[in-house]
Amino acid sequence: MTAAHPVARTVGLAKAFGAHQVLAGVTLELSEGRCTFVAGPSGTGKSVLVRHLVGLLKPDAGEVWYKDLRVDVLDEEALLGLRRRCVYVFQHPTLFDSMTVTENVALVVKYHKGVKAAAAEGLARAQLDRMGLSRLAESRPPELPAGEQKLVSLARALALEPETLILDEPTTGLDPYAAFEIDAHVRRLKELGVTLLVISHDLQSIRRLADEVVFLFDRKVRYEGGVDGFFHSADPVLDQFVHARVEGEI
Amino acid sequence: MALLITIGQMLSLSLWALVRMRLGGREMLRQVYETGNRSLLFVGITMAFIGMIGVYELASTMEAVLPEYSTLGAATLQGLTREMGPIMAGLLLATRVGTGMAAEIGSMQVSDQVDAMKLSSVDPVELLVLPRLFATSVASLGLAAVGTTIAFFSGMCVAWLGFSILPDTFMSLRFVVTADLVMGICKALVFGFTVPLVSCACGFLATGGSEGVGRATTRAVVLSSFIVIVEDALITYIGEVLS
Ligand SMILES: Nc1ncnc2c1ncn2[C@@H]1O[C@H](COP(=O)(O)OP(=O)(O)OP(=O)(O)O)[C@@H](O)[C@H]1O
Ligand SMILES: [Mg+2]
Repeated sequence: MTAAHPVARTVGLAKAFGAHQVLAGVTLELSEGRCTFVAGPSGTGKSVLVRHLVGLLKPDAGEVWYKDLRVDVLDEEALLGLRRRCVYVFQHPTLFDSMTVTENVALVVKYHKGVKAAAAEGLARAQLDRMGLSRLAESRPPELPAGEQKLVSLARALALEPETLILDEPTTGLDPYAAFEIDAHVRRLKELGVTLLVISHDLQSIRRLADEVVFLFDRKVRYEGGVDGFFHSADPVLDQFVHARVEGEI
Repeated sequence: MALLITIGQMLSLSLWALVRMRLGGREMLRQVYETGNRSLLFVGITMAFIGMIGVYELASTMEAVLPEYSTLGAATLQGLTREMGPIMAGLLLATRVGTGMAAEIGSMQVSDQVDAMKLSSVDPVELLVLPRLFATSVASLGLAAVGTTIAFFSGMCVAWLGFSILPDTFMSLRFVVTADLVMGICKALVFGFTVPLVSCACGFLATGGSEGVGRATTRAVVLSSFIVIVEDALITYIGEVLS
């Protein structure tokens, strides 16, 4: 079997905030139709990395590509097309508090697909229905528990029928059942052939779902490869992370 | 510097949205109502006191210099129309409304909601700034008018009770000419535009959690009040040169 095409990739990405160098030379590839997990200790810059993929941050050095598109040089107008195909779901729920769940989903559909308000609402309701969330349709986000907010955020992303989906810690802070529910959606997306990038510390999710694992540590990619290799690596840092040992570099 | 760039970007984006006529009419009206209504009581009470204090001071001076009061009412009204009405409306909007805008947009910024809008191809300037610019300009005009009226009448009470000037004598429009009215309206509109522009820009530049939102709010009120006062001096100067 030949290697799948890279959908999104970064080359030698570097990013600093003031004097704080967060990423230094990160090269990463997402293969088409595969599910790549990005793991790493808190604060290593996982979220910063993926924000570059959708043009929310501009790198200090290096390149960001989505298929044939050089992402890091695009302006806001040109990024819109990309952001419809490659959707990023934030780590923290970013639903708009003043709108109902349906309106939240419909707003995104309306703007991205350029459809009328009524049609957008229809599409939003259908999406919520497909995910079994119809009961939440009229609620406002602040009333919902964290797990349901994450599900609604996912629904909002899926309503755009993206070809690539980036999930930033979709299960962190959720109870095991809610996490399982999210994982089930991820599995279904995998079967549909959506290219996935999931940031997660959740070793169970990695075991269940990952095709590839990327481990980010100390501004760089420390490991890139299969799931087995990740769990049985001889690298002391990976070993410490996987087995949650107290002593070590992390 | 970053603030100037943000203000410039917001201005151009707002104008662009205006050109494309992407105005949510109902949202605009709601904002006008919210902004005006929320500030009305605050402006009313403040202006009542301003009117009383102003007339008291003015009458005391007149008593010492030229012991007659026939021009007191007319001079008060002129000062209120040209100066006190608009500037107080501007400053009170900065404290009452500008802080709210900076806090709201600031907390959306630090909780990634602004970024989420960009990803959703919702233009944050169009959705958040444009209605506020319009609403605050209209509200500022209304508040300046209402404030001027209230201050004039509260001043009239002081003149009557404190200096035995009859309302008939006080109530005089003879100093107020069209130029005064035009200047008052210009000031109110400019202040009503400046306050949301500066406050929203401070909100968008917020970084670093709730502390950052607090800093943005403080910065918004300090900067927008300062700019309003500088603009006031400029407009007065331009008005003098022109007339
Ligand atoms: N806009 C910003 N301004 C300044 N510093 C930032 C900014 N965004 C991120 N950082 C810093 O970059 C570092 C990496 O942040 P990032 O959110 O990517 O970590 P992470 O790997 O996603 O961690 P977590 O697992 O906690 O989400 C952190 O130290 C953070 O303080
Ligand atoms: Mg993160």
